[in-house]
This record gives sequence, C-alpha cells and structure tokens, in this order.
Amino acid sequence: MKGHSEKACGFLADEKRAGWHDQTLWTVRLKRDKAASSLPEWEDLREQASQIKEDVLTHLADYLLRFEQQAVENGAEVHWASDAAEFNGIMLGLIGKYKASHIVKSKSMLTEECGLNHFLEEKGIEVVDTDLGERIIQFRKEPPSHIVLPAIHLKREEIGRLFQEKLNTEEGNSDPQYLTSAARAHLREKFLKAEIAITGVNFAVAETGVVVVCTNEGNADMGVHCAPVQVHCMGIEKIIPRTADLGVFTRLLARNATGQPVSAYTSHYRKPKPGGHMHIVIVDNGRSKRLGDNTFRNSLKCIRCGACMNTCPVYRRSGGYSYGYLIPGPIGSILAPVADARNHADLPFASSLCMSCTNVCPVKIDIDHQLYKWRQELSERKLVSPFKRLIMKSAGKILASNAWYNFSGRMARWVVKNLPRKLVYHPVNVWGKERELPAVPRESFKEWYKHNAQKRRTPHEQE
Amino acid sequence: MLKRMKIGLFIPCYIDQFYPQVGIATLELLQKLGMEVCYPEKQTCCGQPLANSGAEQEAIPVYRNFVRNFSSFDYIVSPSGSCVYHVKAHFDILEQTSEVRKVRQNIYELCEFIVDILKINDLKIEYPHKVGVHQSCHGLRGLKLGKASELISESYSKVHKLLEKAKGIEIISLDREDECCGFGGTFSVFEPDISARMGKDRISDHARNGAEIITATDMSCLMHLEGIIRRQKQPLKVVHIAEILNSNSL
Amino acid sequence: MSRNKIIGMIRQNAPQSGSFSVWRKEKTETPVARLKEMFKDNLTRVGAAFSELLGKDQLYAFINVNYPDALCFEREEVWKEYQAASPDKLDKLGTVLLNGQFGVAENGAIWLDESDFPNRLIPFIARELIISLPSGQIVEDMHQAYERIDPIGSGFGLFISGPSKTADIEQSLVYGAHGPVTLTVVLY
Repeated sequence: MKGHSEKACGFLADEKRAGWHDQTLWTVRLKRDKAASSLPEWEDLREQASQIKEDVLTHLADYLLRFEQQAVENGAEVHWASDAAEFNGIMLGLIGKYKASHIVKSKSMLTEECGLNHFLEEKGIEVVDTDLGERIIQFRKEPPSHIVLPAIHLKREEIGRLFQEKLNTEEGNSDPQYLTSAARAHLREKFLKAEIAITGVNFAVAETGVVVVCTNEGNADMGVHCAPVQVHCMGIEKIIPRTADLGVFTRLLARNATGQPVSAYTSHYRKPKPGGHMHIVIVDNGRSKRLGDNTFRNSLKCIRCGACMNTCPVYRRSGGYSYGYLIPGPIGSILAPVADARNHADLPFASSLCMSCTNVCPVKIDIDHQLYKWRQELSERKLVSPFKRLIMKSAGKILASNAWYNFSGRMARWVVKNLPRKLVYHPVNVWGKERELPAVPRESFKEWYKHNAQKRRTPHEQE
Repeated sequence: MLKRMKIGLFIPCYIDQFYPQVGIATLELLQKLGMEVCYPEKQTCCGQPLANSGAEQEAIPVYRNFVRNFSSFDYIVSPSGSCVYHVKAHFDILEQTSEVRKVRQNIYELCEFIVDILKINDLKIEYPHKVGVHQSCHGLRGLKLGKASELISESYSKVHKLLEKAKGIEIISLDREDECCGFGGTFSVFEPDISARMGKDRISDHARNGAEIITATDMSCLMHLEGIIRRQKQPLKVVHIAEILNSNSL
Repeated sequence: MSRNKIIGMIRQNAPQSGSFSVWRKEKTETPVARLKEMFKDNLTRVGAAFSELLGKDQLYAFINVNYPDALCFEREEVWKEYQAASPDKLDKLGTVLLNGQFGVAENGAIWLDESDFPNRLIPFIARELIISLPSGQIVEDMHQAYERIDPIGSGFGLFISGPSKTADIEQSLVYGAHGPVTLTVVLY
C-alpha cells in the first residue's frame, strides 16, 4: 500500500499546484492568527478548554448519562452504538421506521468514519450531503481532503466543469458566486423534500441535553427544520458539562478554524419541533478503549477545528489524500494508528515534529508528543520496516560506544570525500536526490580538540 | 567578578564530524565569556536520531553514556537547540537518578545560556551583513527560545536579542518567520520530497527578502538548507549562530 | 446492551480524578456606547448591514419606507398562519423582520429563540433577513451571552452572525449559501 511519502511525491510533482495549496492554507492560518490575537486572553481560553475536556474525560460516564436523561426529558430519543456497524444499523432502522427516501446530511466526520453514505448507497438509499464542499466531493465520489474545508484541493474551474455536468451550469463559468447560487437552488429542492435530516454534533451539553451545531451555510438548520425527523450523531467525547462552557468553546472554534469571530449559525437543539421527532445517536467505535490509554487519551479532546492541518507545513505540501485516512494532517496521524496501526504506520513519521500543531490546538492536545510516542509504539510492535529497524539497532550500538562512534564517523567522512560523485550520489542516497552532502572537513571537532589541548587559550577573568 | 562556572561542552555528532568550526566557535566564545570549559572526550550523541525514528529503547545506552559524561558539570552547553531539547524532554524514560535530573535541568542551548544564565545581551559584535534568522523548531517551540508566531503573547527572541546589537547588521524580515525547514532528522530521508520542498521554500523566502546569510541555532537545519543552496547554486551562505556571536571583539 | 457496555468500558478506562482549574474571564464594565461600536464593527466584519434609529417607535415607519415587502409576525393571525406553514410555503418568503433578544459585541451575533418566530425554519429560509435589536441589549462576549440565556427556556435557540456564507470554492467568500443572502440589523 502506497504510504504518505509516495503519495506526497505525486502531489508535489505539480509544483505550481502544490504551491497554490500551500499558500491557500497558509492564508487560513494567518486569518486564524489575526482572529486569535484580537483576544488577549486567548491562551487562557485554550487552557480553560483543555481543563474542561480533562474534566469531561475523567467523568465521561456520568456526563453521558446526565445528557441522556436530560435529552429524553426534552423529548428526544437516545440511541447507543458500540461500533460503526451498529451505528449504520441504527441509521438504517430509523430510515425504515419513518419510511424515508429523502435524506439530507450536514457535516459529520463521524458518519464518514462509519462509512454511512457508502453503507446506505449499497442498500439503494441516497443521502445528500448539503454542505457545499461536501456536496462537491460527493459529486466527485471523493472523500474530504480537509475536515473543515473538504474541497480545498479543488480549483474553481474544476468545480465549474463538475457543476456543468451535474447541475447544468454554464460552460466555462467558474465564478464562485454563480456556482454557489446554482448549488443553493439545487440543494434547496432537496431540503424542501427532506424526510430525515442527519447532522453531526459540535457540542452536547450534559447539563441540559442540548445539541449544539455550528455552520456558516445554515445547511444543518435548513435540513433539521424542513424534515420531520432530525438525527444528531455524536462520538462519546463530544460532551461538555455545562452551558457556561459553551462560552469558552464558541469563542475558540470559529476563530481557530477559519479566522471568523463566530460561525454564522450556532444552533441549540433542545426539543423536537411540534409534531416532529428528534433522535440522538451516541457512538463509541473505539473511543472508550482509547480513553484507557494514558499516552493517547488526549486526542479525545479534539473539537475538529482543523487548525492543526492549516499550520502543518507537511499537510500543506502533501494534501489530505496523501494520508490515506479519513482525517488527515497532525490529528489524523495520531488517530489513524488507533484505527489500524499496520496500514497507517507511516503517518506518525509524516512529520518533522515542528510542534506548531500543538501550539494551535485549542484544547492543548500534545500532538507532537503523541506523534513521537506513536513512533516508539509502532517500532515496538514491529510495524516499522525491518530495514529501518536494523539500521536503528546498529546505530544504537555505534552511538553508545565512543570507539565505534569515532570509527564510523571517520568512515562516513572518508566515503563522502573520496568516493566518486556518481557512487556517492547513487539513487540509494536519498539525501542526495535534491541536496548536496556537506563538505568534509580536515578533521572532526574531537580530533581538533585533542591536537589543540596544549595550545588552548587560557580563559581570562571577567568582571 | 563572575564565579568561574564549570561548563561541560556538548558537541552534537554531526557538528563533530562535519562542522567542527561550529564547535570551535562555541568553545572559544564560552572561554571569552569567562567560563571554564571542559569537553568530555568520550561523548558521542544525545540519541535523538534513534529516538525520533522510534528506537527510543535502543537509545537508552546512548543516553546513559551522555549522562555519564556530563553529570559532573554545573552547566552543559551545546550549540544545538534540538539536542538540548531532546535531553530535557525525552531523557524522561531513564530512571530519574540525581545525575539524570541534574543533567536535564542544567543543559542549555548556547544562546539561552548567554541570555538567561550569563545575562549578557551585547557581545560587541560587528557583522555588517544582511542576515536571515531561521528559527529552528525545537529551539523555538521546545526550548522557547522565542515566541512562536502561532502563540498569542508578548513577542521575544533570545537569538534576535543577541544579534540586534551587532554593528552593521541588518536582520531581514521573512514572509514566514518560523516555518519549519523540513530537515526533521530522519524525516529528511523518509519523506525526502516534502523535506526538500520545505527547504526550498525556506530558501526562497530568505532570498526573496534579501538575506545574504542564513543563521540558526541548529546546524542540522543549516546543513539541510546548505545542501539545497549548493545544489541550486544560490548565492546564499549559512553560518551557525555560534560563529556569528564568536566574531566579536571581546 | 450497547449502552451499558459502553458506559461500563468508559468507567473502567476513565483516568483518575484530578483537580481542574476554573478560569473565569474578569467581567469588564465596558460602557454601552463602546459595546455598540464593537458590535457594529463586527456586524460589518461578518457581512451584515446595519441601520440605527433613535427609538423603537421609529421601527415600523423605517421598515415600511425601506422594506415595504418585509413580513413581520406581530399580528396573531400572521403568526398562526406561519406556525403551521409547510416548507414549500415558507420557501416563498422574501424579506422577513424578526426581533432579536440581545447582541454580542465581540462577534456581531444576535440571540433569538423560538419565541421570536412562529416556525424554526423562518430565520434560514427567508431570502433576506432583518433583525431589530435594542442597542442597550448588547453584552460584551459569549461568556456573558451564555449567562443571559435560560438554557431550558426554549426548545430551539440560536446565535445568528451575519448572512449565510461559504468559502468552499477556492476560499472565495460568497454570501447566501443556503440561508439568507443578506442580514440587516436595525439598532434602536
């Protein structure tokens, strides 16, 4: 299976396009910086959000039960799914119960994780993704390349051609305003006919049983208020304890994600509409297991802002598809090995450990630390390539021994200095593909120090 | 009169082998500043290349060798942010004996040692060049040598503090002040294309904004950038911060 | 049964109880005039237009002159008519006037709940939205906003900040994604 490195190579082959992708996401990062710096208390907010999530993880069972109790009192029906299969089964059951054939869905990474669309399509049930970016990639039969900006990898001309094919828009017209209007009209039809509206959950408030959903487009609400049945899907970790905590999270989320002071709509769903039905599906799918892991538990704090992707120099230059997992970038690289360590063993290594992601995370997930620890874990589980492991074992012995170290160092310098260029820069020398090796000095520092021990300047006194 | 501090000098493996002048500059500078500098000759490496590749367990003997060599010093100083960060952050897997704790607490990168411990800002340097400062990630974000651009707080930079008083220097502004160069140790060979692209983009930023010289606290970053500069035959030079700071008239 | 299984796993795996620091932003006594200025700046930032009136008594005259086709739900029969309306009927809504409860200075958001409109779809399906707001009812930030809201007061409530928008096509900002194309706030 092609790993991140090979796919990234493909992405970078179109240098100009890769540069465009990099600059576009860097601009989102800059917008985030501007919005965040308008709040002098920004770093306090991050700390508070982290503490709230720490509280949530510690008392998760109690908060979930309280949430359920409140939601049921409010008139919602609450379902629990242990895994993706059970979740999909529940959704299918609800569709059957209401005999629905017109289903709309707003953004939900959880439904992507469980493969809901694919599962339902196999049974002949169509689900229309109503977020513009999601609809675009649904038309293209592609997964999202970014969790907040799903179509960030596409140019307007490509979307123009797509809409011409799917929505009969004018040939050659790629004006974003025009294309958005076309999508608006197309999706308005779907909303008006909708029988079930599926949404994700940004925050589920334990104190009140309220489900909070944030959008800019208003598509979650269009679906939820048109359709007689609303279904909100959440991972167990989406709980927050109190209404007051929403103050912290709503100040962080949009600023960190897109640089806006708040999303256009912050909707609080508490009771079903008169004559309507409200369902909440709570999903585990491996989260309760991850809760038990001291090293990797913090990833459960994630509020899906996507800022780690925008700040990551590797993500910007490789694109979401290079990761091969539904969530790409830094957070994806620490989640993917949880789901499938064997097939995603390359992802924790697809990072230079620059630590920028850790600094932008609104809930202070120690992403760089988890990447580092995943490398150790994967190595111990022997999921790292055997060639790599052999090199590491030998390097370990060499670096621990002064004699071996000195000898190997001299050998390395001799090779670089004396072997013909063609041999040194043979394709097996990966470094040499785009870089020169360093020039070889006459002697190492250690050798210089030995020779100059007597001639060393005496340190002088200083006042 | 400054009490003469006993400094253990740690010279990273790649500086030892390929850039000894950086080690020499560090030694000379510390001596000029009145330190008694010892260089334990049985030192090898901090173990970072192994640990970052997932071989933390294999690195333990390397860590122990490090502690053995350096536990007797008041301070350990090194011209490498990433090695110092590695010792501080990742030697936590060793049993925390008093020697291990002493080493982890008293190891410093060169610039932070001068600014924070010696409390010196002005090294009386003359350096009439256009200099771009590459803020190596482990030093910047790990050791907090400066404020990373994504954090929302008061700006500061220990490296800039030491450079700004240099006579004739022009520190150029970059479009991206602290983006990673893409070296990342074994990242440079496991993800060579991204690594090279990141390096090229850094170099373009410096070149575009008029830098003649790129400096940094980490020779690893500079080795990577220099490799690309030389392959592309660009008119830029890399100079480790120790060499700039040592070009003083103290 | 999955519920018990999940709860059981969570209880088994949850980390030990720790102490959690609570940071509360210091409540600032920002003058009303300053809050209004911040609010207006942010309205513009999020793509909303605004007008200012001297008093609520001027509101209907203002609307009649500038938005003669605007629908409002003051009268009980209009309220009842739209309460029972189907999505298809609501789809025909052009300009609609709603009354907001309070605004948030830091982000130009306005809080409304289902006591402010007869049908939950109205704030989204109307083509152009006008929200009237007393300018003395502006809080500084979301902490203060959430203190004001009665969390169990309504079956549905929301913050609206600006018109509906998207930047999903090449990060190019477009107003009027699925919800209203424009938002005008009338401050009095």
